[in-house]
Amino acid sequence: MSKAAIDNCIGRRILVVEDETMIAVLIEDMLEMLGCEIVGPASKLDAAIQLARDELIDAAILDVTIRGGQVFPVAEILRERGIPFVLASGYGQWALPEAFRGNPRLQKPFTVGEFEGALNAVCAPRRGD
Amino acid sequence: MALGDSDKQSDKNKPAKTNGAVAETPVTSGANTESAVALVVGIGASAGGLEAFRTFFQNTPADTGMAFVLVQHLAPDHNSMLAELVGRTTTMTVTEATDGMPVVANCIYVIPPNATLTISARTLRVERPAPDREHRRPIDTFFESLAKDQGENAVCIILSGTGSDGARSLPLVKEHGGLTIAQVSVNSATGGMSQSAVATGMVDLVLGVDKMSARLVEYQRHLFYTASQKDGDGTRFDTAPQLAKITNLLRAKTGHDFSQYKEKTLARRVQRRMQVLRIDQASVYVAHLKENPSEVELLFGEFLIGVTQFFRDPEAFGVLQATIIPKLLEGKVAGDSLRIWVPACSTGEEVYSIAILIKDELERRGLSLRVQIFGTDIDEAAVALARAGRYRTPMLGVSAERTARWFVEDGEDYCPIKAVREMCVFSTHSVIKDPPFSKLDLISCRNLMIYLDTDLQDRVVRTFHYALRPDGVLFLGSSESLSRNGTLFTALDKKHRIFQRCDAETAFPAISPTAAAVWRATAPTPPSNADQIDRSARRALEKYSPVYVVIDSRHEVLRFSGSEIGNYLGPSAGMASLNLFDILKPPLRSPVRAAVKAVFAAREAISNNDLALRIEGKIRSVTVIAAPLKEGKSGVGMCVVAFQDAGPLATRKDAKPGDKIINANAQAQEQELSTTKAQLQAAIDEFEILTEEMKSANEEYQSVNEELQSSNEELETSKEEMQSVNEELQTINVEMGSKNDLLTRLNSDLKNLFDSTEIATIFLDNELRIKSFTPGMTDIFHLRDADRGRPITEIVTLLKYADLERDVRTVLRKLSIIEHEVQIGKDGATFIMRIRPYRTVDNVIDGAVITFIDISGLRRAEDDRHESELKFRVLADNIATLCWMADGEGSIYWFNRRWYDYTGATLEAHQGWGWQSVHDPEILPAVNERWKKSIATGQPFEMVFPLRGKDGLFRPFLTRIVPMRDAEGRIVIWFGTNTDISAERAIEEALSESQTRLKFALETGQLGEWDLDLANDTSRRSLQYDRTFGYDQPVKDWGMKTFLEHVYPDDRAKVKQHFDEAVARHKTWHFECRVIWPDASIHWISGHGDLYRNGVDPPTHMLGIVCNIDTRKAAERQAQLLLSELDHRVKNILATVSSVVSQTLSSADTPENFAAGLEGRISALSRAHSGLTQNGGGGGALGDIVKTELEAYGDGGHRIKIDGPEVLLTPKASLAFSMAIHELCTNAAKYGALSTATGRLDVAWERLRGSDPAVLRVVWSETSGPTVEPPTRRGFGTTLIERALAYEFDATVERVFLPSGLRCVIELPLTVEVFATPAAKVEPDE
Repeated sequence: MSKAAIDNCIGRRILVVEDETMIAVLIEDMLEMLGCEIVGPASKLDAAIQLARDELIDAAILDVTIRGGQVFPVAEILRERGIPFVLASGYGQWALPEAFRGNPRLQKPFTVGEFEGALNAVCAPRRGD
Repeated sequence: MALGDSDKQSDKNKPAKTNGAVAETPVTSGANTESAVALVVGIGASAGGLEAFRTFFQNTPADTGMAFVLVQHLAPDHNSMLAELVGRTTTMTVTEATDGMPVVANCIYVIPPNATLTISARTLRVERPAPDREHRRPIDTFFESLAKDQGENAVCIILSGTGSDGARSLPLVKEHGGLTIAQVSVNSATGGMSQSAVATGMVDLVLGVDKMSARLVEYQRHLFYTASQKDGDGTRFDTAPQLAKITNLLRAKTGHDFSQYKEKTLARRVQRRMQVLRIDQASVYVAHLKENPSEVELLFGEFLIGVTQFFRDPEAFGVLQATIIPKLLEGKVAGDSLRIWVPACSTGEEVYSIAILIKDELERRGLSLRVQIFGTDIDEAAVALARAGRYRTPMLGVSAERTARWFVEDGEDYCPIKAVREMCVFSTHSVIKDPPFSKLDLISCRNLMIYLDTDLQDRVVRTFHYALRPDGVLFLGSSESLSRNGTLFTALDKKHRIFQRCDAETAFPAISPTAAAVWRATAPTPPSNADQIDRSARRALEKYSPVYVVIDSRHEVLRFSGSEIGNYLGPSAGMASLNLFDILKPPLRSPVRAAVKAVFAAREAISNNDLALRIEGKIRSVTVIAAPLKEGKSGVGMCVVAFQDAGPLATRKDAKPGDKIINANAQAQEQELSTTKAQLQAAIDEFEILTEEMKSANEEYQSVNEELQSSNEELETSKEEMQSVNEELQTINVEMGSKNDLLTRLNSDLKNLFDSTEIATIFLDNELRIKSFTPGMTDIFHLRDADRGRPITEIVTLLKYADLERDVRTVLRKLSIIEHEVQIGKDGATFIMRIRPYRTVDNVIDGAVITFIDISGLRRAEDDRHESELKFRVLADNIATLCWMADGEGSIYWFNRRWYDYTGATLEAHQGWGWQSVHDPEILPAVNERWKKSIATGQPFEMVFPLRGKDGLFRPFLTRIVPMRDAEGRIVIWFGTNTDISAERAIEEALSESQTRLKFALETGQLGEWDLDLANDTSRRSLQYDRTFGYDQPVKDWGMKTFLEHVYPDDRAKVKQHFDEAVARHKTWHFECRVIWPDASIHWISGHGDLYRNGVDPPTHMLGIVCNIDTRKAAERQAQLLLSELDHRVKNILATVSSVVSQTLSSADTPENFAAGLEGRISALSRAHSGLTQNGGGGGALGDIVKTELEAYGDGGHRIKIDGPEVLLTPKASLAFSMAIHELCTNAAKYGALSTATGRLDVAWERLRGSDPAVLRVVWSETSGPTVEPPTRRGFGTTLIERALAYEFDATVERVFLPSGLRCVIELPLTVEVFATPAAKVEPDE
C-alpha cells in the first residue's frame, strides 16, 4: 500500500458491487488495508441500486455483470450524483455501453496494485476540493 | 257628366233596400233584426288565390253572421279541392254551391267548376255550363247579381289574381250601395285583378287580406246601427238636412253644384260614404268633409258614378240608326258639317256608338261630311278614359260584326278605328255651368236629367233648345222627359224619347248674358216661395209705396204690383214677352236699364229722379227706383224696379204750359230720340246674341284645343313609338353585325377547310371565266389573283389534258359530273380531276367547279404493295417452315415450295382439303375437329401433329394457323405454318430428365429455388422456397419487395445493398439474414442468386437457391457463447485463484499448510470446472459435485452416504457449491467425522416444494466422529462455506456443532441463477 494511496483513500466510503464471493472478499480486504469504509458489498442489482441511491458514498467499485443483470443503472445513479466509480469486468472494453467507455476500468483479474491505482485515481481529485 | 244612371234598375231595386227587404230576406230560421243586415260577402280570386282565401278565413271568426261566397277562376274540367282546402282553415261550414241553395249566415259557399254562379232573393243560382273562356267573367257576373240582390248588404272583395275580372261590376255594386274592397297588391304577377279593380276608382278600401275581416265586422255593426235610422226609402232621416251644407262644400271645392240634384240620390250616395267611413251622424260627416279635402274628392267621385255601355238601350239606337240619322243627313252635301253633342258622356261609349252609326250610314251613302261629335263630362277621369279610347274585352253591347269592323285589337283592349276616333272630340265641360255648344244637329243626353230636379231639368232642356240648330234632334234617356218645355220640341219617337227642335226663329237663348257667372244663383223661383217674395218686396218698398215690378236677372218680370204699373208699361210688337225692357215704355228703357245693371253689379238700391214721361197725355216727372231683393234664398238675383210719380213736370221752368212750339219741338225730338233708342235697343239685342254666339264658338275652340292637345299627346306617343322602333332597328343592327361576324368566320372556316383538305378547287362561271380558286390551284395552273375573271382556257396549264374546255362545257350542258385521272408532266403528281356544275343555294346552275385531288400517294402505295407481295412470295418459298394459305372457309389454295419439297405432293393433290393424305390417320380426326372449330369461331389454331414426308417417315410439326380479317371483321385468309420440331422434342426430353435430377437434389438439400423477374418483380419459386419463409402453401405473389418485407428489419438494408450490387455488377448475390415467419418467429436463411442472361442484356432474370440455416446459426452461436463464457470464466477463475492464494496465504501458518490448503482448494476448483465441461459447459449436477469432492475420502460407501434427486446447477452455482463442499470435506477430514475411521457422513438433498421458487435443501450430517467444537477463529474456509452461497444465491447456511458431529443445512432457492434447466442451456446470452 503506497502512502499516497492511503492518504487519498483513507476514510472514504466506497460502494462495492460484486457478485463473486471470493472477489468480494478480496476487494473488502484491499479496501480495509487502504483504510476505506465499505458500503455493501452488494451482489444483486436491486440491492446495489438501493445503496447507490441512499448511502453516503465517495466512490464505487462496480462489477459489470452481477446478479439480476448489468450494473449500469447503478452507474447512472452515481453519475447523476457526481460520484466517481470504477467498472470492473472480465470482458473487454467493447462489452461496455457507449456512455461508459471512457470511465475508469479495472480489467479482471486485477492485482492489488492495479486496484489501488484505479481507486486512487477516482479518489485523488477529491483531495483538491 | 257621368252621374251614373240609376234608371230602371235602381228604381226597381229600391224596394229591395227598403224595410220590405227585412221581411223578404229569406233567412231560413231564427230571423231577427240583425239578420236583416247580415252581409253577403262575395270574394273573387283567380286560380292561384287559395293562399289569400286561407289567410282571409284564418282571420275571420266563425260567428260573424255573414255569409261568404267564394268565386274563383276554375278550369271547367277540373274538380275543385277549394271547399276542402278552405275548410281546413275555418270552423264554418264550407259547401260547394248548388242551384237553389239558400244563403245562410256563418256559412261559406264555393263556386262549382264549369258553372255560372249568381244570387237571387238570397238564394244561389248555378247555371251550367260556364260560358266560353273569352266571355267567362264569373266574378263580375256574381258581383253584379249580388249588388242587385243585396244592395247595401253586398260586400265584394277582390283578392289576388291575374286579369281584370271583378273590376267591371264594381260601379254597379257601388251604385247599389254595396261595399267594395281590394287586396293590397303584393306583386305584379298576381296583382292584376286587384290593380284593375283599384284603377276603376270604385274600390272603397284597399286592405291586406288579414285585415279585411275586422273591417267587415265593423261595417256590419255600423250597418245594423243605421238601419233603424232610415226611412222607407232607405234614406236616413238625418242626412237630408245636411245636404245643403254638403253641396255647398262641394261647390266651393270642385266648382260643381249638386244642390239641384235629386235629394234622395244624393242622400244615398252620402250615406254610402258614411257607411264606408263608419260615421254614424250626418253632422259628423259634414265635419269630416270640411277637414279632409280628399274626402270631397271621394264624395265627388261617388256622385259621378257612371254606368254606361255601347249601344245601351239597343231599340232606341235602332231607331236612331234607322230613321234619325238618315233624317239628319238629308240634304247634306259633301263638305257640309254634322255637329253632335253628347253631354255627360262618361267614358265615351255612347259617343263612339253614335260615331259608328254615323260612319256606317255615311259609308253606305258614300257621303263625306265633316262630322264632329263633342263628348263632354265634368268627370275629368272619365273624359281621359274616353279620350284614350281603349276598352276591355268583351265589350258589352257590341256585336262581333261591329267589333271586327269598327275596332282594332291592341293587347287585351279594343280601340275604335281611326276613322271613328277622328270624329270624336272630348272635353271637360258642364252642361249646367258652362255655355253650350251651338248649331248642333243632334244632342244625345241620356240618363242625366233623372238626377236633376225639375227646375234644373227645365233649364237644361232650354239650353239644348238653344244649342240645337232648327230641326235639330234631341235624344233623351228612356225615363226622361222634356219637363215643362214641351212646346220647344216635338216628339219624333215618343217611346224612345227622340225629339225635334220646334221652329223657333224667335227662340232666345236660355242663358242670360250674365249667366255664366251668376246662373246658378238665378234659378227660377219655385211657386212655393211666392208669399215670401211678396212680403219681401213690400218690405223693401214700404216707405216709397210706389208701383213696381220684380224682375229676375234676365229681366223677366216676375211680379207686377198693381194695375197702376200700366202707366209705365206698353206692349211692343212681335212675340209676347215678359221681358221688362220689351214692355217698358221706350223713354224709360234706357235709364231703367242703366239702373238695373247697376243694381245687379253693385247689389245696392239706386233711384233716378225727374225722368219725364207722358202719362195720360201729360208730361210728368217720374222717379225710378231699383233695388235688389236681399232677403231669403229665393230673393237672390232679383231686383225690384219701382216707379214714383213725382207730379207734372210743369213745376219745371222749361215746361210751362202753353209753350206749344217748344213743346212741339220737344215732341219731335222726343220722337226722334225714341226711334233712336229703339234702334239702339235692337243693336244691343243683336250684340247680345252675337256675344252669346261668340261664347259658344269660344267653347267650341276650347274643345278643339283640348282635342289638339290630345293629338299632341298622341304625337308624343308616336314619337315614343318611333324611339322604340329605333331601338328595334339598333337591335337588328347588332344582330346583323353578329351575323356578319358569323359569315366572316364561316368564310374563314371554308378557307381553312380548303387549305387543309389540299383539294385544289377552281370556280368557273358559265363562260368558263375564273370566279375564284384555292391556293392549291397554282400548282396546276399558272394562276395569279389577277386572273380572276379571265377565261380558264387562256391560262397556261401544266396538265397533260387537252379537253378541259370541252369537258366543262359538257358538264354545263348535261349537268353531269365528269371525272378523270390526270397527271402533271411526265413524273409529276397524279390527280383525280372532277368537274361538276356549280349550284347556288337556290339550285341555279352558275358555272362549274373543278376539283383536283392529289392521288400520287395512292399510286405509290399501290406500287409498294406489288413489290411487297413479290418479296413475300420469295421469302415464303425459301424459309424452312412449311407455309400455306386458305380462304375463309379453310380451303387451302396455296402452299410454299417447302411444303412440296417435304411432302413430295403437288398443289392439285393437296389444295382444298387434299392435304389430309399426309396426316397420321389416328390423329387426323382430332386435327380436323380442332381446325374446323377454329374456322367456325375464328380462333387461332395451334397444335402439334405428325406429317408424313416423302421419305415415308412421320415427323412432329408444330402447326400454327392465324386468321386475317377485313375491315368488317370477316376472315378472308388463314395463314398456316408447320414447323418441324423433332429436334426440339429430343432436347425437351433431355431437359426434363435434368430437371428431375435437379429437383431431387434440391429437395434432398432442402434448398428452395427461385427465379426472379427483375423487370416486373415477380418470381417463380419451389414450395421449398416458400417453406423457408414459414409458408406451408405456395405464396401467390412474391418478388424482391415481398422478400425484403420478410427480412428482419436490421438486416434489410444490407441484403438490399448486396442485391443491388450484384445486379449492377453482374455478380453472384450471396446473402445470409434473418427472416420473420408469419408466426413472428425469427429464422436464419442463406442463399445466393445469379443473373440469368439468356443472351439478353441487361439480364432480365435472377435465379438462385435459398435454405434455412437456423441449426448452423444455433451451433455457431453456442460456440460463440462458449468461447465468450470461457474467456469470462478463465478471467474470473484467475481472479478467484488469486483471491484464494491471497486468502490461503494470510490464513496459513506454515508453508506446508499453505501449500496443502492451496492445492486442495485449487483442485476443488479444477474438479468443479471439469464437471462443468463434462456436462457440455452448461453446468453441473449436484450429485456429481458432491461425489467428486468426496471421492478422495470414499471407501466403498459405508462411511459416506450420498442421497438426493438429480439436480442440475448453473455453472456459477456449481462452482460455489464445489467450493463449499470442498471446505466442508476439508474440515471434516481435519477435525470431523472423516478424521476418524468410525465417523460417518450423510449428505442428502431434496427439493422442498410449497414455495416459489422451490428450495433445495442440502443436509450435511457428520456422526460418530470426534467431538467437534465451533472454530474459535473465522477462517477463510468458513467464509467460503457461509458466505459464498449466501452472498451469491441468497442461500441460508446453518452449521450446528453437535456432540455427535457437525450438521450443516444449506437451503438454496432454486432460482434461474441456480437451477439449470435444459431450456436455459440454449438461451442465447447478450
